[in-house]
Amino acid sequence: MNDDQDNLDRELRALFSVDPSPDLQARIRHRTTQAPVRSFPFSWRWMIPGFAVASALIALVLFRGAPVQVAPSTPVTAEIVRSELASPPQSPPSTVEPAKPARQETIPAEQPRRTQTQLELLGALSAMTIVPAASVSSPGPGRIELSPMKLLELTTTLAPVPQAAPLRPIELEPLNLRLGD
Amino acid sequence: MDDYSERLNTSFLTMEEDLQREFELRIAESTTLAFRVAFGVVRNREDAEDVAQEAFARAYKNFTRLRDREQFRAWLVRITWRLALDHLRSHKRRIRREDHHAATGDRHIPAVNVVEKERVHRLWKAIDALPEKLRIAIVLAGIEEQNIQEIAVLLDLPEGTVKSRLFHARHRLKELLQ
Repeated sequence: MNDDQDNLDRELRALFSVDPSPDLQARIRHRTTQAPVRSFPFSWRWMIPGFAVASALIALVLFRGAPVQVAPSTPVTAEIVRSELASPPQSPPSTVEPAKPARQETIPAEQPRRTQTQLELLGALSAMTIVPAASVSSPGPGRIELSPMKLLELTTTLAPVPQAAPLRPIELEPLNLRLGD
Repeated sequence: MDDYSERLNTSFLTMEEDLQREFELRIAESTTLAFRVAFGVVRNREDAEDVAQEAFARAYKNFTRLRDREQFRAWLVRITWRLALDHLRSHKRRIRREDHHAATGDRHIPAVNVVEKERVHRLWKAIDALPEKLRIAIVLAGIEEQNIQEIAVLLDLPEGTVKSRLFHARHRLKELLQ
């Protein structure tokens, strides 16, 4: 077994014991003197992908992390409704009073800011509760105006049940809204 | 300003000269290795010399990117091996070269008779039939003065792996030669 291996090794050594021609070193030297050496470890081929990745990262940081001003959801709504209901419907005034400016509910600037992710979550939540998009209008960038009457409708009506298998009709009891003190 | 640029030029020239000098030493100590590695793949002296030249040219071009200069020989072996395989594939001379070898015999081996020529031809065919990992190990083992430690360094592998690959390569060669 060992003899076989020795024979094989000897044969392999004989097979590879080839020497290059004597002028090979000179040819290699000549070749390398003509080839430019890279002065520092830098490759241009990485420039384009590197630039693309850097741009994508910057864009991600800018657009993903930027705070977006949106309306706060429930607490503000409740507050608006409460203020509307607290003032009873006024009868026509006996005396002419100066017309009040149209009421406009806007979200103050101090309201908490939400990120894009939170905004998407809010959108999903509102879709789940089937809030009509018509009740919310946007008077300008970063602001959402809520119509008081629409909000009243929203708080006193239930969201329609999506059409599915036929269900027996459900009688709904009138809602008792407690709007606090 | 002129002084500064002159000094800068001088330092760059000095760096390049140092680099040149160091590479000269590498050429002197590794030419035969590169040639034999290439010969182990292309099996033709002229082609092996071309491949070795190309390998040195590439190594020189990227020499500054090699952080550990002690790894030069391993790096050169890998470059040479890849270039030799590419050479073989791209030129599609393999079959012609085998026929040539079979017809003329290997000039470097004093083949005294037809039986020995046939044996050499069969040995080359058996080496060619090995998987690449085993083939490079057996080629490096066949190159003189390459022991297991050196092969492990050249292939950047643990010695145990090299031993295992050599064992399997020899086993396969024996099977193929029987």
